[in-house]
This record gives sequence, structure tokens and C-alpha cells, in this order.
Amino acid sequence: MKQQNDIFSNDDALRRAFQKGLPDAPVTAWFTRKVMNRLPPRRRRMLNGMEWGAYGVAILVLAIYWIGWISHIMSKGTVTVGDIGDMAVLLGFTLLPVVAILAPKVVAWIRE
Amino acid sequence: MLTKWEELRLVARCVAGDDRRAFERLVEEYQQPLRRFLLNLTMGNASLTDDLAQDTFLKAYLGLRSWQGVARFKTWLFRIAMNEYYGYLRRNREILPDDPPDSIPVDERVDTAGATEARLDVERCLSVLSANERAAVLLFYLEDKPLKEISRILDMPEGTVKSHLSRAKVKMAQVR
Repeated sequence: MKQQNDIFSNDDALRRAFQKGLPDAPVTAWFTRKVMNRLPPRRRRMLNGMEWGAYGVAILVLAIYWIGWISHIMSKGTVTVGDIGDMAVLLGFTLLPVVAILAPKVVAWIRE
Repeated sequence: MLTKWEELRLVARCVAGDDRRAFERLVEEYQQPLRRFLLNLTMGNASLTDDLAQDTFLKAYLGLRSWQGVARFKTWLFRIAMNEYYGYLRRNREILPDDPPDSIPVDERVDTAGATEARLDVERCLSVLSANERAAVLLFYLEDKPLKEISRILDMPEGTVKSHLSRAKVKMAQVR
């Protein structure tokens, strides 16, 4: 009885008694899975519409440039170093939206 | 234990990109202390603990934008858990937060068969406390949290937390 009353006058002893005497709840993968399964479906990104609109404009502008570049080459009949440089720049700009569209999908696929 | 910056980074990933992996990391990190706290707050009721803990994480996920980052994520999580627990008490009209709880049937307790004398003593001490006193005692002695943090979690002044603790000690000393 005296020992028990001593414990209640000593916070550290009481802390040790609680930490030793009370049951623990170990980490379980099951609990994490349950929580993750209860989360609401992924929300659609608010920028989706704007994003796709921007991609559409970019692709349209690039298509006009490509058509211009091809008709320029065909009318001239020869390809100069400058034309190849223009093509490289156009190719770079064309790859940008393609990578931007495909990269998140590839990353999501790899994660799954 | 995550640092505050890691918590901020993970929460930012959840809020900005709905990154489930980041939230999963937060669940993995904090499920153990949260479930241990709830398990003892509910006097060993394992199924209620899991329900409350799941609801807590779900509420946290839905309210991530409201976490201001002033307090630690864990403190905010414990605060939500306490609200869930009070909500449970109100819904079930089992006990009012300041009344001593009824005893929990033995078959709902966790690991009672293998419980040590020390565990039974501490559990018995907890059983005579009100919900607020039990929460304060568990946060102070089991979770080793400072008074300031406990007052945030329980949404009460530090002085009230202190009086809950001293009243709880008197009650626990009278057990036996």
C-alpha cells in the first residue's frame, strides 16, 4: 500500500508503470490498408480542362509549324543546315507536350 | 519519428497532388501511438479502437488543408481522435465525459488472459477515471507529452489539465 502511494507521488515512477503496464498496439500493414481503402476516390485535378486545352493549343501551333516547314522544304527542293536546325527545334517543342502527357501516366503505371 | 519538415512535405504532397503514398507514410508513422492511446482510452476495446483510429485518419485526410502546421501533425491527429472519442460517447450515451466509465466486459478486453499483475493494476487505476482524466493521464504518463501539448489535444487550459491530473492521481491512489 505504502509502495503504491509512493508511486503516485513520483511522476517518473508512474510514467514507467504506465509505459510498462499498459497494452501496446503494434504497427500492422492491415490497419494501413484499411485506412487507405476507406479514402475517397482520387479527386479529378481541377486543372485538367485547362491543361488539356493548353496541350491542344500547343499541338495545333506545332502542327502549323510542321506543315510550314515541310511545304518550305518541298517548294525549295533542298535541305540546308538551317532547315535541319529548325527541324531540331520543332522536334524539341513537339516532344515537350508529348512527354508532359505521357510522363504522369508512365509514373503511375510503374508505381502500380 | 518524422521531423516537422518531413511532415510538412508529406502533407503538402497530399494536398497538392492527392499523393496517397505520402498519406500512407503518415498513417504508417502515427498509427502505433494513436492506436495505443485509443486502446487504453477505451479500456482495451480493440474493435472500437480500430474504428476510432480509422475514422481519425479519414477525418485527418479530409481536413488536411485545415492543418496549419503550427502544432505537430501528431498533436493535430490526437486532437481529432479525442473529438472522435467524444462523438462516440455522445452517440452511444454510454457515459458523459466527466462521469466515471462503466466497466468493460472481460471478453472485450485485449490480452486479458496474459496480462501481468502490473498491467491489471494500471488498467484498474484507469477504470476509475473520467474520460477527460483518463485522456490527460494517458497523454502525460503513457505518451509522455508536455502539458502545453495536452491542453491543445484536449482543447482545455493547462490549469484544467493539471487539475485533471492531480484529481486522477488521488483517485488512482485510492484504488485497492
